[in-house]
Parts: sequence; C-alpha cells; structure tokens
Amino acid sequence: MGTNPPQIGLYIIDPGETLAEIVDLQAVIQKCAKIRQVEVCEVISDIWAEQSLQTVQETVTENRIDRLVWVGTFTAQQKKTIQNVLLEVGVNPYLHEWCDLQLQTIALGKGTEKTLLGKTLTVIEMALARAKQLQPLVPIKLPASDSVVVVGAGIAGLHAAASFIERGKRVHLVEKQSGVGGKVALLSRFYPLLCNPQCGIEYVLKTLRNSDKLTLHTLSKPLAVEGNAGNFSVTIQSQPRYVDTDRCNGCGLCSNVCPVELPIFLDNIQDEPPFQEAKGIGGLIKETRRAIHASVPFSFPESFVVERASCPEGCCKCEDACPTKAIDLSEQLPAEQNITAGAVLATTGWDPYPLSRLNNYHGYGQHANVIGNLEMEQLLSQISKGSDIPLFPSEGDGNRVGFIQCSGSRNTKHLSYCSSVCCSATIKQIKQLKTLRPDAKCTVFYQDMRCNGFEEELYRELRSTSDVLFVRGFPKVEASNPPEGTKLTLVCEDTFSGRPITTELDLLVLAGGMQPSKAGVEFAELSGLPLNDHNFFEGHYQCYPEESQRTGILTGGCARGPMNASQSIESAGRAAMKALKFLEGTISIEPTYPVVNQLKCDQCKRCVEECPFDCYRLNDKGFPEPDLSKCRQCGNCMGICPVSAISINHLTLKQLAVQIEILENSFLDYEEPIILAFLCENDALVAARSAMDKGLNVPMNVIHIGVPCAGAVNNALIADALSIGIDGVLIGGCKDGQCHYINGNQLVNKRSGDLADKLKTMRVEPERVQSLSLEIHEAERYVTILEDYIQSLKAMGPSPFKL
Amino acid sequence: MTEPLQIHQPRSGSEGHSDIFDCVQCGYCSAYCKVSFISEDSPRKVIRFLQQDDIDKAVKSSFVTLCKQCQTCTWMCPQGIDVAGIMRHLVRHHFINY
Repeated sequence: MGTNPPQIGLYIIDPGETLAEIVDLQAVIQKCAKIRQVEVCEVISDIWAEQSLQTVQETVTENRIDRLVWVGTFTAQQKKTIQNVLLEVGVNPYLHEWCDLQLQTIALGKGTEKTLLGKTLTVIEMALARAKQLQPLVPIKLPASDSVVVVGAGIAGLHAAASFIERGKRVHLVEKQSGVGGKVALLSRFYPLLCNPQCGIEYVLKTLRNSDKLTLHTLSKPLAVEGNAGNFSVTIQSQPRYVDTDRCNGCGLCSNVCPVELPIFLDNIQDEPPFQEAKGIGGLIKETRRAIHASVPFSFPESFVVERASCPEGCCKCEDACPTKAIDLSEQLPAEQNITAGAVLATTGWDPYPLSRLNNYHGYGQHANVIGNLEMEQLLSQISKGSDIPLFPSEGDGNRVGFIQCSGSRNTKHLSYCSSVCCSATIKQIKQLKTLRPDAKCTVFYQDMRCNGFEEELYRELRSTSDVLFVRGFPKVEASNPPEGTKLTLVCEDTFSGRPITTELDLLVLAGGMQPSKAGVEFAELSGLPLNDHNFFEGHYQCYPEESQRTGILTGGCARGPMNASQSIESAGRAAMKALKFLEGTISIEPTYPVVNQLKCDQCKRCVEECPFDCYRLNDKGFPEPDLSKCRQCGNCMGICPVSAISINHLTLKQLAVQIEILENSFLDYEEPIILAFLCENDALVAARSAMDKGLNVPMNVIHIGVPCAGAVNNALIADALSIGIDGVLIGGCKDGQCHYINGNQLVNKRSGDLADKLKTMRVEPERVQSLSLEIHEAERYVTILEDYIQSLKAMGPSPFKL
Repeated sequence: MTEPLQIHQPRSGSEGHSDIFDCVQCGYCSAYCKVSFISEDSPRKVIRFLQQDDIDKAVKSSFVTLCKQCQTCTWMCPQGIDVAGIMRHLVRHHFINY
C-alpha cells in the first residue's frame, strides 16, 4: 500500500438475479468501471458457490487489489466469512466496504427505472468514495492486572470470589464485618430448598478455604478507586482485629475469661437499632456475646476478634489466657494499603429497612413482641438449634403469630418499590414455625402475595395444608395493656368481605423491606458511580445488567436491586463472567476508538465534559486524550467537537464527508427532496431495516448512514450536507433513558441550539434538520415520520443550495 | 346534584393528591379510622364506589357524615392519597343534596 493509490475491487452480489430485475446492472458496471482506481468490477450471482470466493482471492492477488466494495445484502456472519477468506490473501478486515442496497430502499424495487438506477449509482459511488479513505486497522493490546477486588463478602461476593478462584485469578475480598456471610448468614433457612444457609456458605467456602489465591480483608472498607479497567488501584482501610489470624486456633479460652457481655445480634441486624435495647430482639434472645468473640456473622476467617471499644481499661485477661499468644491488645492504628486489580466487583448487598421508622404504625420498638423478619429468622434459628428461648415473650404459653407484609415497602412514604422477597420469606418462616411449633396459629395481613415463579408452589402448599389465615388488608396494632403489654390486639378491615376483624396475637412479625446498603452508597460515592432513584446501582438493566458506568467496575447481587439469595448468586456469577475479560493480563481493544487530531484541537475541553464515560484526560501539553480502556467507542466526542478534531477510526469525519459530497447531484427530480438519515445502529437503524424487510413503503428520498450513537453526528457534517444542497437531515436515536451510551440522544438535542444559529447564518431553515427517537420495533412509525417530513420539506421548497 | 363533583384530579405534586385510581384498596385507612366500623361503610369502600363511578352511592354513604376530618387516613395512606380531602368534598355534597 503505502504511497500507491488504493486499488479497489467492486463486486455486486446478486443471488438469484433478483437485483438485475430491478436495476440495469450492466449499465451500473459500465459506469463504475470508468471510475478511477476501480480495478475490477464484476457481478457475482452466487458468492457462496464453491469456486466464487477462491476466484475473488485470485483476482485480488493478481491485480494487487487492497480494498473491496461489496454491493448487495449481507448478514454479519457472511461478512465475517468473507473477511476471513480475504484475510488469507492479506486484506485487512477493515478494508471492506459494505454497500447495502436493501437498507437504501433499492431492493424494494419501488420507483421508476431511472431513479432506481440513479440511486444505485449514487450509493455505490458513496461506498467507493469511502473505500478510498479506509485504513487498515488492528486491535491494540494494553497490559492489565490479573487480580480482582470484590467488595462485600456476602453470598454474592463469596460466589463471585469462588468463580474467580476456579479460573485461577487472584481475589481480594474486602468485607466490613469481622467475618463473611453477610445477611444470608443471619437467616434460619433460605429458599427455595429451605436448607440451612450455614451449609450453603460452608459449601462455597470449600473453594475459598484451600486456595492461596484468596486474600481476605476483614473489618475493611475501600477508600478510593483510581485508574481504569485492567489497572485499578484500590485503596482499602482495615481496622485492627487485635488477634493474629495465623496464630489463632479458635480454641475460645479467651472468650471464657472475658468479663464483658454485649447483647447479641442487635447491632448486626439493624443499622438503626430500636429505641430501647431491652425491647425487640434484644429482649427476646437473652444470649450475649463477649468483647472477644469468633468472627461474625459467619466464623470465617476462623480467628477471633476483639471489640476494643467495649473493653474495660487495663483488662488483658484474654491476652494472658491465650495459649498461642495470638492476642496483642497494644494500641493499633487502622492500616491502609493499595491493591492493583484488573476489575472491581461491588457486591455490597442490602440493609433491612429501619423498622423503627414504622413505630407509629405497628409499634416496633414499643412492644417487646413486635419484631422484624430478620429477627424472626434469628429466633427460628436459635430455637431450631435447641436453645430454650421461648418463642413468645408472653408469660402464658401463647401460640398466635401475625405477619404484616409490605412493612415499609410499596409505600410512598417509605420504600416505594416492592422488596420482592418478603412474601416468600414469610411463607418460609411460617413453614418452619409449623415444624417447630405445630400448634402455632398464624395470620398473614397482606396486600398482594407476590410469590414469583416456583415460590408460588410453597404458597399453595401452605394454604392447602395448614390452618394459616390470609387476610387481605392492613391492621391497626394496639397493645392490650401498654406499655408492658404481652398481648397485641389487631383491628383490620377484611377488604374482601368489607367487615372488621379483631385478632389477638402473642407475636407480630413485620415483613420489613430491603434498602441499599450504606456501604454500597458509600462505594458509589467514592468510585463516582451513579445510583438510581432508590439508591441501588444504576445500570442498563436489560442489555448490560451487571456493568456500571465505569468500565471494569461491575455490580452484582442486591447492590443492584432487591433479589433473593439464588438470584443474587446468579447475578454475582454473571458479573464475574463479565469481569473475566479484564483479568486476562492484557485487554484487547477494538481499533474503532477515537483519535484526537492535535493540529486542529483548540483545547476547549468539550469532549472532556461531554464524554458519557468520563474517559478523556488532558495530557501534559493540554490536549485531551481518550483512555482507551474506559472508552466504549460511542463516538459522542466526535459529535460534540466544535472544531471537528476528533474522529473514531473506521467512521472518520473524512469518510463521512466524502460520502456526503457524492450527494451533491440529486438522483431524483429537482422538486423531490433528498434526505440524509443518520441512524443509531442500536435502535433506529434496526427499525429502518425492519421497515425495509417488512416491505413497507419507505420513500426513495432517503439515504441511510449508520452511526454507533445519534450523538456521534457532528454539527459540521450536517452543515456540510445542507450546504451542498441536501434538503433535509434526519438524526435518529433511542428514546430517553434507553440509550446504550447513557445520554447520547439527549446530547443531540443539547447542541441543536448551536446548529440552529449556524444554519441561520447560512440562510437555511433550521427545521430542515430533525431529530427523532425511535424504538427498535417502530418500523411503521418510522415510515410515517419520513412521509410527514417529506411533506414539510416539500412545503419549504428545495434547498437554496441545490443545483 | 347542584354542581358536578370533581373527585378525580390528576396527580400534581408528590404529597396529598386525590387521584382515586391510585388507591390499591389496601385497607390502612379503614383500620386506622376512628369511625370506620361504626357505620356500614369505611373510607376504603367509599373510594371503591368512586372508582366504580358510583358517585351517588359514595355521597349518600352514612360514613361521610361521620368523618371527623382527623386526617389519619391521609397520613396512613401508602399511596399518598389525600383521603380526608376526598371525604371533605363528599360530605359537603352530602349535606347539599340529602
């Protein structure tokens, strides 16, 4: 190649000679063969015949052709095959130009013979013009770390860590508590199999225990996440344990001599504890823990931990009692360290909604026998372990238990969303309660029982086999002799019969909701990730569910929204799968990345500001440089640049401009407007293509050009197009909130003001440029919009620059 | 009726709107209402009549005359509906018409 002018091979693929019936291909061949640099110009009726591609290969070698223009209709798979065959004779995959006659409305065969021939020639000339500008490109490789940081060692984090370790990756597991397990370790049973979660955690720990790839950082939290995919630098801060994890053998002698007794679980369960510690679960479970105790919530690492803040001054009983000399009570400061990682996984989980905020509704924190559902789990798990705690705090032997669903969820004053697990959790708890205390009488107050999928079977089973009363309606809770009342009276309107129901209960369980964990919100803040309206991690829920706005940081489990344990594990697995590509030691980057022309750039920093993924940084000369490991190649920088200094490879401004130039000579009559449509390849272009596939009456006036995002279309291109006499420019993007690049479609509207000013100085009506948002299925709507647009362009008259 | 009753108002702010079709019939208002079980009807039922476009039945209901405007229903409503406000409308129409 080098200095030699490019040699082009033009192949028209016409299977079954359907194209020849519409367009006079001989005339096309004659005309195209005369164009400069076109060495070969042929019609192939069956490219998939055995010899066809081989002949093309030979022709390419003989004539030293270095780029090819294919006219016809190709699927992505076919393009790949052709590219691979020609790669064998040294044609770079980026030196093919695909001219799709189907997409350009020609294959529909509507219109006169003359216009069809004219349009075919125009689009082929456009393809040839672009082909001359093509450059050979190869993917680039960047060095990357092969370790990963997982924030949060709940069930999601543990499963993700296990998947990484099975793939041989080094994992840093960062957990704020002293042990792993998270909320699942606090449960008594988890569905759908209703087994003990301790067993489930033990199972996943089997992979982690014996691996030298795992580094567990307990009592730790991330402080900063710097860098990019492949090379993150994560700063974590670890509080001292005061116990050497290597020396400690978990014998428990220290705990026996510890003089401090702390109420159990209360602080683990609620971030905002109930008003009085003696009430709620503190009053129910009389057990206490010592200031030195095994890791909570699950005893991994198998080392004890000291709650130094609760220690009496000068006490070193545990230090003296320890046979392995593992305890060191001298003053220690939190340690900070930096971890290099290829990817970061946030499995920060959830917190229970603080039920104390419902104290006016249901008396949580006011009556000892009103508890939350996590406390109920604790109670059930203690009882099933054989502890002699009475199930009911009342003196007499009560047996009536009530459950109030949606406590805090589905309420505009609390959590407006459905926490999705509480209905099944209640059913699960009743089921276990019935096995422990068969005489228990349960009443469930609900609005809708939402038992998704197979959980419905549990619900049906419960309804058919036991005497559980389901009441649709919410009750008012009153203690019979407050404040120390041991019986609760509930008054409720049964919304089915419309009659009041009065019930006496011994224990009331509030099915509290899930809110995003505090740690998750903090992590979002320090890593600069956006949160949604409910403070869960924002993401494109259907297309890239586990990806965050920052490439290389993934989110899984309940950090993304309320889900049950098994969904959470699935989500963590998907996130781990997505993270693996950043942990290969190198990251391969498609060559279609943006390039900044420093000769043109005036350092205005618009690109730095507008990049949806924040990947531009200024280099030491003050020029913006994209960070390719962050870049998602949406082209919004190319669209926004006021001096047209940024182009994305393989879709450069020059390549687009030469195509537009061809449209200077209209292929239609003078009165018929020519429309140039830039359509987003995710939605709008697919809608247009399906309009063609359906055989809808798409007007001949339109020429389609696909762009990665509507935001990639530069105002200069639009002005160019209008100044050479194109009558209208259409920019098609996604609907608001559906853009795959966050807000590319909105950026178009944002800069339409600048464009209107520019067009006014050119004496062109700003209405000639239209932007539309199109969903992928809206083929019919696209045609209607086009027809209306053509009518309004006709009313405006031909462009003042039209020849 | 002397003047048409305007109950169904589209939601304007986040607080205290009276879009009756936001009501999911959960029964919080009835449970916490101090007078709901004295009469045959309850605030939930009255709103149901309105949803069924049976304004006559809602206005005639003896419940609306009992309403003390204590605002507990509005305060309890998980959907943020101004139930007491709706009752206020209805009771005016009740005394004008019956």
